[in-house]
Amino acid sequence: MKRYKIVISGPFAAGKTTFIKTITEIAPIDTEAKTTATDESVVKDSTTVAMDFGRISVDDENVLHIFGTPGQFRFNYMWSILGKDALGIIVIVDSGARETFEDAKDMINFFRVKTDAPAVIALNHFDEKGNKVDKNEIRKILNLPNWIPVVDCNARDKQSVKDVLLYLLRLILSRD
Amino acid sequence: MLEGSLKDFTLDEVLQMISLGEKSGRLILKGDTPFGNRNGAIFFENGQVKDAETEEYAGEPAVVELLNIKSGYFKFVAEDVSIRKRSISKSIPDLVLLSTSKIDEWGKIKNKVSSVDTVFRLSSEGIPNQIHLSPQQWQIISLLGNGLTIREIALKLNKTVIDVSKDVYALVALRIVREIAEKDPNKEKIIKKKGAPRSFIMRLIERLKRL
Repeated sequence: MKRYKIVISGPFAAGKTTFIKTITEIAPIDTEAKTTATDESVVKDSTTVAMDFGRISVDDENVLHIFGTPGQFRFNYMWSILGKDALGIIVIVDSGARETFEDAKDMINFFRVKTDAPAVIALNHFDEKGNKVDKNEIRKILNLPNWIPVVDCNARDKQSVKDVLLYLLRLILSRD
Repeated sequence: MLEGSLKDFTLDEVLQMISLGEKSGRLILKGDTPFGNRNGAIFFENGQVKDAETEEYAGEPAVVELLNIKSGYFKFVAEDVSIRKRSISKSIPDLVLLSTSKIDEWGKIKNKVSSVDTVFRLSSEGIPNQIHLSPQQWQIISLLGNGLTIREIALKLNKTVIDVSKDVYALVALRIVREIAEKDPNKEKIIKKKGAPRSFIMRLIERLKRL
């Protein structure tokens, strides 16, 4: 059985675990632990400490594994481990969580220097309302080079998650 | 042609021969320095250094690196260097002194920057109210902000890693930048690993569409 890997990264509470749960064909394996940092526990009760794991089987011989990284910088040792040999990277950014944009920038820079894999920024719109940024704004805020695309996404919506993955796969094909 | 090992002749002795003989030509040097293995050439005109180049640097930064080769190989080829543009005007003793002082500086600074392959990010917290930066430091801030490492900035600005490290250390101390990751300097040289076969990606696209 050949296994290939796509990595889902992004800041704390951006929607990585939700993204994987929405698309995986097996019950997702996650490594959530209760959040201990006061500012983080306001946002959500638990956080990924090692990785999330999802899977999409392609045929009898090939399978895609989807790994979600922890969002916090203190777990960045896992980003290196999970990013190694990945086909591509999806960095999820919550369009309404402006306080996390600097962290997103760090993550994108981290993967840019650690891997040659193509990357896509998935701008996740969890809430319909609120002070959200659009694709053009986030591109400027994150100082993204032209070759890193930004796509809109709703991590709770299966079609939207599929669209992001398809975008990344087409990008991988175009880079071959 | 003069050729040999730096075990038999020290670099100072070779330089002295070229200088006293007022020779013109190219001194090819290859060997180990505190910054890694270096390969390059110093060009002399009438016994004076005119230009220098390594695989990475040109001019004075190249001389500084080459003069720090302690073990390795040298070859002097007498040739006309008149068409080569002068990039160095310092005398040989001044260049030797400069390279020695750079290596002393490096000894002090290398423990303060974790690696010349570190990637930094600009920080917005804890910056003093008033700071005075040199034009070079502004230039370095801009390049660090674009994800370049000390090594890459040194190459881009044609400065030694020591000069750039000093400025970066000052910027870290002022909390203007902070370390975020370390880049693999050999990454570009590594043969790209074969990715997934195209047929797999095509099948995965079809599979996803059906999900």
